Amino acid sequence: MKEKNSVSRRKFLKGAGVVAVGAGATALAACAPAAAPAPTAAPAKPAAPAPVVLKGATINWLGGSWSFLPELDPVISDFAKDWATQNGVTINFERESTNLAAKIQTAIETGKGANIIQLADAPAGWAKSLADVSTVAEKLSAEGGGYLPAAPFQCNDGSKWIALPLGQHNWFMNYRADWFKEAGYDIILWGFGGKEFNPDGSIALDSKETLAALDYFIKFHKQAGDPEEIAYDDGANNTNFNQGKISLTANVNTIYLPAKKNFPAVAEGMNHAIPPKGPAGRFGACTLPWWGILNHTKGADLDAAKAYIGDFMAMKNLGKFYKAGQGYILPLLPKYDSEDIWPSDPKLAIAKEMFKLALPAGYALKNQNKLASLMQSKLIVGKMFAQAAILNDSRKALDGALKDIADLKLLA
Amino acid sequence: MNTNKLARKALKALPFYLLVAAIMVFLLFPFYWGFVTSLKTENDVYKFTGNFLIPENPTLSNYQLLFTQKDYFRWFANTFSVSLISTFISTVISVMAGFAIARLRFRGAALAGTLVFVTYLAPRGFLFVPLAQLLRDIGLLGEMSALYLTYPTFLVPFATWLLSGYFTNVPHEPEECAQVDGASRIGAIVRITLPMAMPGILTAGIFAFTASWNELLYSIAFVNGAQNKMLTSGVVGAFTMGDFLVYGPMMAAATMASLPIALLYIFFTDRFVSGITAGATKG
Amino acid sequence: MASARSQDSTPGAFISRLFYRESTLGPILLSPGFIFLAVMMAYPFIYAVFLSFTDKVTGGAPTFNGLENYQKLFSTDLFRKTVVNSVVYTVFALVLKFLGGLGLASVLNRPFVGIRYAKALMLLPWIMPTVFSTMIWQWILAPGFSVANVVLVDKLHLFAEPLPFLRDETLSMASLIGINIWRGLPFFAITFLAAIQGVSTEILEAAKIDGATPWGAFWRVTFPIILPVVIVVILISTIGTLGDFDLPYLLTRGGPNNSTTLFSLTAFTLTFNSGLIGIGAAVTMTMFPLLIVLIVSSLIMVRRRQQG
Repeated sequence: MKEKNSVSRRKFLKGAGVVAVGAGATALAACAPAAAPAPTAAPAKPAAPAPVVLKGATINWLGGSWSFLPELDPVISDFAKDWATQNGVTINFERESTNLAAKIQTAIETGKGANIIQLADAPAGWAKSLADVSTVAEKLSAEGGGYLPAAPFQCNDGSKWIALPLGQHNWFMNYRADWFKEAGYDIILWGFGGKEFNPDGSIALDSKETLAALDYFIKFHKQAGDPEEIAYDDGANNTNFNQGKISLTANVNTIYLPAKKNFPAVAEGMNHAIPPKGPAGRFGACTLPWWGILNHTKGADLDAAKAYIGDFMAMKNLGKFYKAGQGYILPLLPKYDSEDIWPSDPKLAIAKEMFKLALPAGYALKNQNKLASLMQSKLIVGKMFAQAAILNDSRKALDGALKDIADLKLLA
Repeated sequence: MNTNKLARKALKALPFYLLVAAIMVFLLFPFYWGFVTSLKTENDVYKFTGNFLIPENPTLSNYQLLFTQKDYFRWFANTFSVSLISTFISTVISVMAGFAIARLRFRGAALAGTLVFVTYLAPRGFLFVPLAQLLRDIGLLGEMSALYLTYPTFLVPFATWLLSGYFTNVPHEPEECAQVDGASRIGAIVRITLPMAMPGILTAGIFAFTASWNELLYSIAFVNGAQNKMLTSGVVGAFTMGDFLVYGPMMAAATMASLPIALLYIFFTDRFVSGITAGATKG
Repeated sequence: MASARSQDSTPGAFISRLFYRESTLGPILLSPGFIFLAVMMAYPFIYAVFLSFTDKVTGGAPTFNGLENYQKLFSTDLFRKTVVNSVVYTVFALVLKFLGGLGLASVLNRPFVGIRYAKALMLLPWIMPTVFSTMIWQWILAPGFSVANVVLVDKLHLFAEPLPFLRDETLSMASLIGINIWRGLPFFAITFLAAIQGVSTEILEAAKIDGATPWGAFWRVTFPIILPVVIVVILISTIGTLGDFDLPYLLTRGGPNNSTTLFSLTAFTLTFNSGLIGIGAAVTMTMFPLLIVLIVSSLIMVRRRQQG
């Protein structure tokens, strides 16, 4: 249960945001379709006749599971089942939450196992092992009116697409409307004009803007913070909120949706807000869960993997996924604006306003690089904010972060 | 008079019993707390008012959730069979090696003993990448049988070392007598010495079984398929709901997973302890 | 003699001779273990040593880069913290387990009502899968819902504020050490107890007659006798504690601010989360000198004790 915390700790503290691949392996059974498809009862989806080469290919899919929103996983696996039957391809699903990274590592180092991986930490960290999926990305982008900047930023290495964004986790601000609505808060570095990188790749964190953001956070924390609030644990963050212990947090709807089910009074009293405007403008932080193809996948398997992702992520289909997520994952293509995928719950309605706002970690690089991905996986910025509040010293917190970055730079 | 004496005796013993009680509370409270939590409703789990040490509305719903978790019993069975098989393999290997090192004079015996102990030092994560490649080359990567081979890597060194210590302390005479009476050497070892070393062998077995049952890293990395998961990884994953940690079912899972091991030790504590100390006295 | 030699020529006799002579039976019995460890450990071990001298990253080919990984490592804060944390963790946990174990053993050495059950139950922390016991501890220390804080602050009024167990750097390390002690103490106590009870009563009687106090008798008579057991238990525990992975991984993930990361965990995160396989291997290599010093010195002590 700690594994997931590595991926999704407290976004509140994080500003730049870190991933939240949902975790938890609701043991979804391997979805290997029956060898003999029932020809007449074939799924209704009218698919173009599959190229013959795909037949007999195998795709092993490996990723986390969104078990907290039980509606999500079936959208993926049901489509896969139908698709596999139609195309004569075997698709095996495996969901692992405890130690996903070790498992992917094994697949990469041995060239066996997973073909498609689903992750939420930056693809740049896995760039060496990911196949070129530019053709798929360009097709999807064209269909949806061109990807929003966050997508190429994270999934394109500057010359080619190495991953396909599934969507974005966009951190709404959750607050309890019946508590202090007026709470002044802006924890986001970018809101103060701070940033991690210059476009040329040099580190830009050491700035008066960063210090201003940290100072603000220290002040905010003193006013509104729970004494135990700054823990490196997302689960506690959400649990605290639902128990009425803290009144403000930045997170995706992982708070609201379970609250609606288990703590109706809390859900009743809470609301979501767009991150407030800082001196430098309004920013939302997002992370992109993505799918990539490991480059040991060759021949028919590679073709099948590309075709499968292309079909799954086609607007008509992926829209169902977004809809099922009720705002948990938002699209990255502008054409979704007019699609019927947005949450019907009025308290989640801001999702539609949010989805064009967000930037992923590593801003203002041109494309997210290895260092940015390491910083993200090591939670450097989130740690810096937490340290600022704990030490009550923004300079010290910034220096700590700079030293961490220097270490990472040296090692990588 | 008599009751007076008794009372005074009891009073004198009181501080001692309080001490014992305090120690037991420290050692056992976590289990109690886990168990109590597992019996609470989701709302009560986070309530710390009143007598939170006793479930207000006791419920088995967390256990129900656990047992209806797809594949739960499968994971249980997997863990059991993998632990049993790797225990068997490592115990057989270790009994042979431990016996040879402790009781047979041959060139390199001492060196072998030292080497075995040195391999015990190798941390698991360290061997991870090469082991994965090795498993791929033998064609076991992804299969549950990969664990039959990899678990013994951390079981054999300790078990061998423990058993070689134990075998040194088993008297030689009965084995020699049996040989004089016409038994073959192997026959004498199997019929005379091994039974005498049973507590030590049992200890090594219990140790191996526990360590296999508790393993986390290899079982995730070297085995593929939801149906082939072990309890540790399967259960932890199942009750981490998105960003939510669901403590009720998790505590139920913790309680259930510990039960077999706890039973094992309740039956074998005495033997286990004597095996460890006897084995340990010989460095 | 002559007849024996003639029997030797049959294959059956040859085999039974192989299984009779110690010079051949020894290697035969040893070979399964030897082959197994050579293939499954020695080979991966050597390969991992090699990796530590390369720039191997996930998905890339290893290129030899000499001591570069080590040089880089030694200049990072992360590594410095790893070493300090590991030493602090090991020393505190070991000393306290040793003293606590002796204390608990002497408590258990006195018969009392229910001792059988106490002894059996006591081992629970040690045998329980760390994954699950750590899960419970996390729940006990969870920010906001820590039953430990409820008891310490609200019920016993020992502290004014809830303790940030997993947030404060020092307290996190203390929590980690505390749980390690909780987990290891029963093993120390039970083995020490068995050793103490193995000391012959005659020797103790003799010491008593010589006028030794129970305290004096323990340190001058009992302790030297049980020392080999003590050393072995400490040795086993040191290896486990210094190389501990499960506990920090599951409880704190090495945080906050790398204050609880240990050798294995640092190596693990560098390898798996950052994909720096060569550097991860180098981290693990650096813990060997420490381990070897510990082990050699304690083995020497045992030997000296047994000879003396």
